[in-house]
Amino acid sequence: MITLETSAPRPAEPSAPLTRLGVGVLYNPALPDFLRSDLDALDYLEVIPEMFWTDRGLGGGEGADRFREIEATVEVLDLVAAERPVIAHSVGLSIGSADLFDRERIEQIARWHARYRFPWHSDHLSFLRMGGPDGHEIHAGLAVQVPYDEEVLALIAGRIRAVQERVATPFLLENNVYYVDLPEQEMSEPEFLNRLTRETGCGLLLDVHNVYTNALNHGFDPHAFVDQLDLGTVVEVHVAGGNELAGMYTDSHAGPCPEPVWELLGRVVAGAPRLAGVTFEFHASYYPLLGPEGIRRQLDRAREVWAAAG
Amino acid sequence: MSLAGFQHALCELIASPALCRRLAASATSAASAAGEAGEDGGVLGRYALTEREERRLLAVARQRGMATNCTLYRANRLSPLRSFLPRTCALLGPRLRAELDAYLEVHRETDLEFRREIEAFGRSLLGRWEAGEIPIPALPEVVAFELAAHELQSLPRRDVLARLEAESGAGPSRLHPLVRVLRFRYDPAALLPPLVAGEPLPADLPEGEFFLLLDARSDEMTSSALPLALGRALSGLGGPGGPPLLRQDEADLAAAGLVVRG
Repeated sequence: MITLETSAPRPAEPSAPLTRLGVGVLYNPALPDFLRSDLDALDYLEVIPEMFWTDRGLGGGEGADRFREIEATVEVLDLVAAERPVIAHSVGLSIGSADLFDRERIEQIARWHARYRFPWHSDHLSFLRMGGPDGHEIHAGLAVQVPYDEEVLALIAGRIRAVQERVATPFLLENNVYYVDLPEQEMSEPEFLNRLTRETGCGLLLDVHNVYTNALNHGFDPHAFVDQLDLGTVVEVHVAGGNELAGMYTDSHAGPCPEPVWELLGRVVAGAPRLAGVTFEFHASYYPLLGPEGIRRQLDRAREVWAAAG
Repeated sequence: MSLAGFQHALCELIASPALCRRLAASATSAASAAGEAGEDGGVLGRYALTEREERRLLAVARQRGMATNCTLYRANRLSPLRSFLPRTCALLGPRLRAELDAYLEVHRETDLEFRREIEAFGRSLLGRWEAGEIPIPALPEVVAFELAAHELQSLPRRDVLARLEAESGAGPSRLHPLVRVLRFRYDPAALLPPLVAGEPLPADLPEGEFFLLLDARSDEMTSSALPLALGRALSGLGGPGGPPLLRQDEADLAAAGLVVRG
């Protein structure tokens, strides 16, 4: 069933500093062996929960009728969760969709939070699902940017509140990567992010590789961008690598982080008092390039940058 | 709600480089692009959009970043097909691109579930093969093999086994629910390994009737060749026209766990 959000009282989102977890990695299908052999390298594991279940989609029932767990991957998750905190980083809420809001998916995250006690959870500031005919949905094929307009701010703020009411752990949104410029936006991206976090109490998952990618493709100074953000709302940072595709630099999670991303991380951590985690993301296909030692090097570098920034 | 129309229109452009090009090349004013047009209709005409949204869509259609968006869209849809149907993709070889184009043209709707995408692409290939549009004789059996393997790997093993235990003992004999028997016209021992290794298929693939057992009863799925008579009996099990199992064979197969009752 496709529903529109209803207005709700603003929830009390914890504004106190979260426990500083340290440095983690985003789960991908190449990682199970690494997690078994090198778990000591991680302070936490971040997971995309949608990788651990199949989803029959809107109208596909509730709970286990709709979301069927994939046993083999959940077994790996359970092994790690016994030893390390687990963070949920969802891809499927599609919080920016104008005509679709999937409350049953929020319930599923709430159920998983009850099971894994996420210190926080997050999703993306974008949309990728849309309402289709006969209650079915249409998928955009990639996370698409939203215009930074008042109308969109109000829409997403309402959805954030709905998430906060149902999932009793801080909720963060991640800044998106975008490859086209939408003209005539009512706000700049930093202004939109600052207002969204201020008006909802939602935290910011600042993906500094996304900032770096956007800066390269759209010709702005990423450090100036970071300086415009209210870094007091940043709870988590993502770092990653990328490469070129069709004439643009992309956030493809292609192996190790480029040097400018480490520099940007240093600037962010120096000004982010609530920062609780730095997560390294890489695509599974780059595991042979990185190997266990390569992953450790990225994690160690993140720790060094964080420590150096005090 | 015009924002919804804007999002649908933007996604349609991302899914279709041809539509993007058409919009970019259309009249320079938003009004003429959005209005009633000739044969192909206005690109934006079927969406309820504000003038600002029309200007935004016209602007992005002309940006090089749309080529990146279109490429990413295509890559994201191709990626699970390559991951879960690797032999099929290898068998298609240089035809893969054209087959993907044909598939994406018809199957615009997608979702987060790889399984539906994989099955839809497999069905699309089989339909085109039956229509004589893909002259690769071994295609149907390679597609069927990979779809069956993916289906077995996606099943909730623990639930299936628990249900089986609860039901056991009653009803006619049938294949274990975590087992599949596949019939091949070309010897799978000669057909499948080169497709995994990225090597060319031998010109003289042995032809005949062959059966392969896919077995997902344990953690690691295995495949093994079946003797002809056993393959025929197992593949016809429970269905009309299949040769019946001899009582002793049935007992042996039940003891091996390949056949269950219920």
